[in-house]
Amino acid sequence: MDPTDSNLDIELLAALIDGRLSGAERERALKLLATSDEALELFAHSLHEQRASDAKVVPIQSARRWRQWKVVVPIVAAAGLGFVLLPRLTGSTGRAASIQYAVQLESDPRFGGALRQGWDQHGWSVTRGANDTQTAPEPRFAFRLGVRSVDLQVAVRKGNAAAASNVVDDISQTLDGIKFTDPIAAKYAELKAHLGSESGDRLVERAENAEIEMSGFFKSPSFSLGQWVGAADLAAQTHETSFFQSKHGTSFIRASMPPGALDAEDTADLQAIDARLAQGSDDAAFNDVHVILQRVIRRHSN
Amino acid sequence: MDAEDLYRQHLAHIEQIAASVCRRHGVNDHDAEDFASDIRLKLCENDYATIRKFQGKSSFTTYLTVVINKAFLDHRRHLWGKWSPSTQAKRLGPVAVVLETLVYRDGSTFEAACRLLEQKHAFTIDRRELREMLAQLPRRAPRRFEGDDALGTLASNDDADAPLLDDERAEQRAAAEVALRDALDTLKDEDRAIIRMLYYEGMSAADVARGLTIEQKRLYPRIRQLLGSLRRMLTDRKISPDFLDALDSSGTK
Repeated sequence: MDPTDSNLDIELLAALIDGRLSGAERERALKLLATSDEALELFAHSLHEQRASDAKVVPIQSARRWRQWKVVVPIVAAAGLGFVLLPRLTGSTGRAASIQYAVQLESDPRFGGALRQGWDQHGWSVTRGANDTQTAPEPRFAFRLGVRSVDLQVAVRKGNAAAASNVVDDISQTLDGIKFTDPIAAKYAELKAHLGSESGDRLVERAENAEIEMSGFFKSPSFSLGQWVGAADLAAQTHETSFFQSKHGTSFIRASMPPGALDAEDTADLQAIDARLAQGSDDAAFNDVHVILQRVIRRHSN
Repeated sequence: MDAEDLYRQHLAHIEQIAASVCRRHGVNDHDAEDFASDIRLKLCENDYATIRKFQGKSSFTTYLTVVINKAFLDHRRHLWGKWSPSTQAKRLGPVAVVLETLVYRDGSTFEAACRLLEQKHAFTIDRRELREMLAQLPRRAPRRFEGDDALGTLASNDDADAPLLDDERAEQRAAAEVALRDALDTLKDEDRAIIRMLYYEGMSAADVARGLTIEQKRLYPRIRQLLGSLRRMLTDRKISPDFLDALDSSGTK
């Protein structure tokens, strides 16, 4: 039987998933979801599938091809089209950015072993979000949460339950009191409850789902910047050249941020990273890059 | 481009979606291959009728995604009848969905279900945790009787008044369901769709926002407002607001 032979308007649901409906057509699709269990089930399954297919990991090989675009991307950004690329970072493609960064970091087999003790500590003051009663939270909280989302992804992928637990505590404290973030906090609490009892894959999935929810809530350049800085700092700490040479290097973050999101100090720091690494990628260079990134973290998180 | 060209051009994508749908539902490799060939056949039938119906309102790949999911749900309904996982199982995750399927649809004993979860579905499991999970799932009539060993592992319910209390609770739940349905009917279509997506399909707020192209940040206060208004309506109907939670796990639509 033809799957489209039913009372359901399949293409209408597909168009709703693509966000292409407006006016009367959208109303019709909503009525379908509001009244038909079959349509609701099909929509939910298809949306989930669509998200899963968006979430396919970018193969490492394609990173080489991306390098050819490293010149083009800044031009696009300079032309004022940087916002087009922002969804790549904010997760609206359905992919948690932290996974892409973690996959990139792990492409160097020495990454896990090179993580130093205390890598998951950032030394920022414990300021609870409880003081922040606005629905638009301060950028510093979004930045911290961005950094932490990468830390958490790395910790769960490495099976480091202690680090994951510390990171989740910090995330929860930051979320505490920021209006309407209870469902997000609940996801992290649930993840913490399963640390040590669930498989690594499941924990990675939980962390990703929580992050997608959080990223969608904040939709903030500060969150995206925090994620990149967090990942870059881990790369610096582990002396991983490949991160900075990959599609996720400094050109990427410069091109991906909307105009004005990076201030003069950020721009100068990114240039300093490029300049330092251009002189060579020895231990001293990475230590300097780490110092620069710590400076960026302090500036944005406090 | 004619329908056949479109089909050929997207063949790899069709295979990919079919495989992904099967994987997500824990279908084994052999059945997944059958499903993929079945879907290829369906798409070619009647001179590519399904593809010719495509009008370009959505992207073609999204259209294929919905068509293939529809075919899968139809196929599953055909095999299983109207059985579908409870909301509670969906909320607890894929392991709970498979566990519920094995125990309540297929009538497997708890031990057999554990073995199948490990061997066939390659889940890493902790039996104590699984027992707790099973105890949280709504009881549904299995097609076969449980073995004594499985019954021994289920949460004990030795109270002599239990059947009576169960009946009373079932009646209260039925009344609450009717009241909830009435209350939902008073909402606007979009609001009703949001509540149904969240509570009937167990979708996350992020997915609801994405699916309906609504800003996620604005969705949270809206959900809170909607739940508040539903609670008020249920309270007016003398239904305890606690039943909102009970309904979440009832698995009924």
